[in-house]
Amino acid sequence: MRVVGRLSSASLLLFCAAAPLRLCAQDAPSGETAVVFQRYSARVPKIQVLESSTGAKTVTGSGFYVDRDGHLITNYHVVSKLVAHPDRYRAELLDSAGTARAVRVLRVDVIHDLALLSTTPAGDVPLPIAEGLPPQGRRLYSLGHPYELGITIVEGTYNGLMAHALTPRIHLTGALNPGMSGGPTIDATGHVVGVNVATAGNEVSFLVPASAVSKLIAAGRDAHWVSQPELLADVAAQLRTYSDGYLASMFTGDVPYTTLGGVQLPTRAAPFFNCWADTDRDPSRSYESVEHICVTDDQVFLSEDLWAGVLEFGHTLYTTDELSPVRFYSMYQDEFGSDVQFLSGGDEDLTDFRCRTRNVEQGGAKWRTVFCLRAYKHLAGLYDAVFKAAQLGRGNVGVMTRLTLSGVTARAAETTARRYFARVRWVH
Amino acid sequence: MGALAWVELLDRRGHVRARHRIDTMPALIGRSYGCDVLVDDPWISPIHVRIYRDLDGSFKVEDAGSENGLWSPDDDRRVTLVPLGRGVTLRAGHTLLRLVPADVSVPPALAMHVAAPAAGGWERWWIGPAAALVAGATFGYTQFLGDASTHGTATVVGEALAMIVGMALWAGIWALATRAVWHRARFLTHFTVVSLAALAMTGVLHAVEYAAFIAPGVPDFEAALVLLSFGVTAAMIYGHLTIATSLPKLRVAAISTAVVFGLAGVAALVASDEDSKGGGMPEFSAELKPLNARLIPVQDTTAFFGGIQELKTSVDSLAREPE
Repeated sequence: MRVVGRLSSASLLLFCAAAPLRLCAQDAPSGETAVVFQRYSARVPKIQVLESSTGAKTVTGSGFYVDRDGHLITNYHVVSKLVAHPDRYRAELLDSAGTARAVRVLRVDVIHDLALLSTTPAGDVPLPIAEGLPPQGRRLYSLGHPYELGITIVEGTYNGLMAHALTPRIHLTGALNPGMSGGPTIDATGHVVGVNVATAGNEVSFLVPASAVSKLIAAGRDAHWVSQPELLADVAAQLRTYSDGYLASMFTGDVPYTTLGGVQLPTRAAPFFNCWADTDRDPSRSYESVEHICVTDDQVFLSEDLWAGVLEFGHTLYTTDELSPVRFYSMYQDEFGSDVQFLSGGDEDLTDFRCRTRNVEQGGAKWRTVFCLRAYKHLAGLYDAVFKAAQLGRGNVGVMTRLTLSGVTARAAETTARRYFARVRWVH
Repeated sequence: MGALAWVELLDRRGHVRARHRIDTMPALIGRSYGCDVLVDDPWISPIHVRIYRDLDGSFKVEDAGSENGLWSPDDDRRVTLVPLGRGVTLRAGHTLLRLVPADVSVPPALAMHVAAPAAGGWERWWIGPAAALVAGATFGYTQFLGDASTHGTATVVGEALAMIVGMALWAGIWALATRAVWHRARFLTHFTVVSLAALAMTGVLHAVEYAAFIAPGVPDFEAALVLLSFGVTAAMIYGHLTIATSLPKLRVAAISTAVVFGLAGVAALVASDEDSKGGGMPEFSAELKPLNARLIPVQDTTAFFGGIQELKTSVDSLAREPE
């Protein structure tokens, strides 16, 4: 074994000597990582948001220079506090020499979780943005400032764009850690393939594709300087356009359906939905339930407590052999009135819900329907909406369905719920 | 042998201070120790008044030759001879005398405010426990119906018993108060009142739930429920107070209403304290009842979704509220 090992290293060395440097980099990762780190780490400053009055750190992240004029890219979620409360926070970068420089937010792309910052130029070297996507399996290098450990490089493997995502995300196999957010993931030549954004743990990490970065840089260079309130208004406008876009055709045309308790219900209305089903036959319970849930993975970060862009619908079938209709309905009623999952936010960002409840006829059955709406206090024209319906009059069988939308316009919420419910049909 | 007449000595306000029985006729009234009725009044003669039976059998009152005479107090006229009739009031000296024949009839007894504590009507001994049992059983059964989890009869019976014990404690407090006033506790009557109130409350609760299920468009069933339960509470306090006090009915009604208004005020204070500023979960009338579909009135979906604009207006105004 040792011999084989030696032999193979020897042949690699030979290969390297003959081949161009770029190819060689992929084949000799450990040595190459050191080279990449040496060359590019200085282009990745630490970004920190400070509480204005005390000067204490609130959020730390990473960023990278995109030109020599003092423009940087980071994640929106790194600087979101500054955008929401410019009076309470300020931001600065710490460059490779450890010098602090003030930064301000020029422009944001809240959907892709990106922010374009500007600082006083000090001869910083930018990272070029890659065009197109690398082949699957390409070794990539993530740079950033995890925790308080200083600049760090992490090797990872490019695993393509996430399947079924509403907003494109690169799936990187590699361990991104808090604080690396906003830092670049580059190939061996220093081209930015994506921006570190999230991790699902177990070496499953996600990047914002470079194409979104290019778009934001282009938009930022053309645009004039916008004040903080305008920035917030822009966040609202981006969310409105984004949600109106994906809701426009939802539940139109041929929507696949599933049948629960003799009722046809919509499922997987678009490729970016993940649908799950589960049966609960807990012997200690006197009824059975079958649940079918479709949910998107795409959520838009607005603040630590508030995520928009939640898109979820689900159906539950309740049946019983044991319970009398009165007892069954008391359970059914509790389930219908139970809290809505998938929604975030508190009284700082959102109003209370206002609801409309009626008994209606749809698809050959009678239903109890409720539509609830609440408004975003600081983002004009955006709402969270919940639609629920419970089939009535079947004694010991109940079918319930629910649609949850967050960060959408009221008009889109209404038409989407209307189209959703129109798909529901009792076929006996 | 019965009395023939009575002589009553009255004070200035007409209240009886002493009563003397007359067994024989004629009878004398004066300061002399030989008289039948002795009066310690210096302005009265030793023998001042004489009562006698006339030939026709009627009683007469005459001045027995007194120094200061006999006077009618109504018109201040001096009299010498008056028939006793149904009774007569005269002044002798500084003393008011009322002379009444023994056969005069008296008015029937005045009715007391509280029904006589006889064993009849609501006071029958078994009504209280029976009402409490019915209320406890109803409570236990509705708890059973309102909970789909599998639990044994023990839980249901336990809940019913806890309810009955609670009602007994409540009735006990009222019984203590009643005992302080009337020297009778009347526990069972109080027990009946609280049991009936509990039954009424259960009925109200279910009636409102069904109404909210049938007609979800009608606003504020919650307010109706609050009003009705305050009504039941007022009726219960009225019942307890009627038993515990002898106050007139109007006064009792006023007190019950005042107590309930007080409770409502406290409840409103507590509720306003919990007023949400936003970000909460949806609250809506989620009532679902196992009615036959034919019995459930419905509207079409267009009308339902058409009302969403109102919600938007409503939450928009919430969003504009200053924090």
